[in-house]
Amino acid sequence: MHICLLGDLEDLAATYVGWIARQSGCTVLELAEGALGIAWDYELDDSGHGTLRVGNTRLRWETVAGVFVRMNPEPPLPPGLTLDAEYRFGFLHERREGLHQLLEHLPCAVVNRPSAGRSNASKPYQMAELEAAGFDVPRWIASNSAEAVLAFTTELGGRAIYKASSGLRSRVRRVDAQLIERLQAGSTPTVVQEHVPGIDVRVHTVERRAFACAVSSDGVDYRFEHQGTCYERTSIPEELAEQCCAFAMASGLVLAGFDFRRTPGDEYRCLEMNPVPSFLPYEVPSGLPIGAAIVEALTRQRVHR
Amino acid sequence: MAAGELVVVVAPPSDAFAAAAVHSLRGKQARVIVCEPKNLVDLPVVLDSRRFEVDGAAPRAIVWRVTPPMLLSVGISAEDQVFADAEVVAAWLWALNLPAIYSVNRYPASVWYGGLHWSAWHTWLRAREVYVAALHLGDASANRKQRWIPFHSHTASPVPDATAAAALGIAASAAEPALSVLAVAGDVLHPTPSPTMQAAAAALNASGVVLARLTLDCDDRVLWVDTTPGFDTDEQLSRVAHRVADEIHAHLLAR
Repeated sequence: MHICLLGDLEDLAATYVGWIARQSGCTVLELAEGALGIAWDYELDDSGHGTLRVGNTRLRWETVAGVFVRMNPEPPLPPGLTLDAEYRFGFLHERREGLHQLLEHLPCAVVNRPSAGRSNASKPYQMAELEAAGFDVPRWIASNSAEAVLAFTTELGGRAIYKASSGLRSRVRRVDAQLIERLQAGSTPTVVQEHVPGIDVRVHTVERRAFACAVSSDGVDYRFEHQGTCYERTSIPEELAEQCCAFAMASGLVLAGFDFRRTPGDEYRCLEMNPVPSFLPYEVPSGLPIGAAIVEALTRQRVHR
Repeated sequence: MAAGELVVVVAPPSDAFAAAAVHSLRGKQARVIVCEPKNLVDLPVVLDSRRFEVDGAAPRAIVWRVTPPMLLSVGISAEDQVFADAEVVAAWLWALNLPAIYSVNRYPASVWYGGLHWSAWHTWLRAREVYVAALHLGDASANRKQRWIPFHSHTASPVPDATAAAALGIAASAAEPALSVLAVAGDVLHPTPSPTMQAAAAALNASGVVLARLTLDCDDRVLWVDTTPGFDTDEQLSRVAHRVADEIHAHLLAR
């Protein structure tokens, strides 16, 4: 059984999934984005038929059980190719879109297809989707108005954090004078949200399975404040696990990472859902078998598109 | 009348469609704010899951003539430009999708963040069982009839040599563009619209894409979708702009 790793093979999650797949007896094919056209290439028609060449081996896509994808935001050109900035940009974009199309149309499990979960790039869009799906999302606004942010923060009794409106990685911070000054000087819309006391709970879903990990930290954003941060497996209510799985699957995601705050009163407030979650920082300290579940999903599914 | 109701138009000054729509909307007594995309960062906005305010007022409609990756935050330092544009569009994309707002056009996140390329629409339409032109991905050398359709353009070209085709993972199709039609608020501006035209126009309109040009092949399959289309004549532009303004006006009246 063949499993493919596609994109950035230096990515730790890709390396780890490949290792588990090999341990499970799978043949792992490495499809580095920068080596497309050299070490490997493909063809695929609209009905999902076609071939994949890796080195001197050519096989039919039907023999590939699944593809695990991790893309690098700054992929390399093929070895030996140099291009001026404009052509380089065009080449990389065309190649990336070609790979996206391939991943959309492959007749096997793909973790994850590129079009799935794209609302993560707009936090307001995604939070509204999560709310509509019944998750308890803390109150929020998105604004570039200092007056509006001040008024909202006052309404919350001063207990507010802010974060990026887009999906670009940014640190979550408490609303402070620095933010207000920046908004007064003219800035982009920022998401300001009710600060929820409690501990962070990351829930990874792999198809219909949910894996919950509690993260205790003294900081506002544990991803950036590692000192004293503690990860341990935890349990969440069954209906919440089902809700996460249902939302991820409806979004077309085989793998997803939900961020919750669990309050002292055991309420689960949903902060966001990540369609390309880094699961290793949670799996390693907690022992949750997320990677193994991903490999199971990659080897079990056959999708007829 | 919907006198005084706010409509926000985000369009470059060169956008003839936006200019005609603004003229028509003002003729219907709507209050119209026009903003160039590059200045969008300066417009004070507040939004949450149910409301959107621009400079303290709640627009009832947005005419959004922005396509990625248009500059949305002039004046922001060059090193922060990508971040700033992403932040601005992240807020507006949800504003466009608010149920209370009539947007021209409203975009699903999957298509907007797919760059609005034909390939993103191809995937989107196919998922809604609208016939789209058959594609071949990757090495297309086996079929000499195929033409290369670059993902970032609407112009088919000869298939490049096998090395380039393989390194880019190109999309190729034997389909040739046969005709293009405008879809406006679910209607196809064609005397005898085909089933695929109607299905595509209906699917687009149902998700909030009010205005689009569909290009089809001779087998009645969609080749690509352009949501900021050009117009064949000034008369056509005027007719479509008035039609869109009428749709917006009807929304303003239906409080």
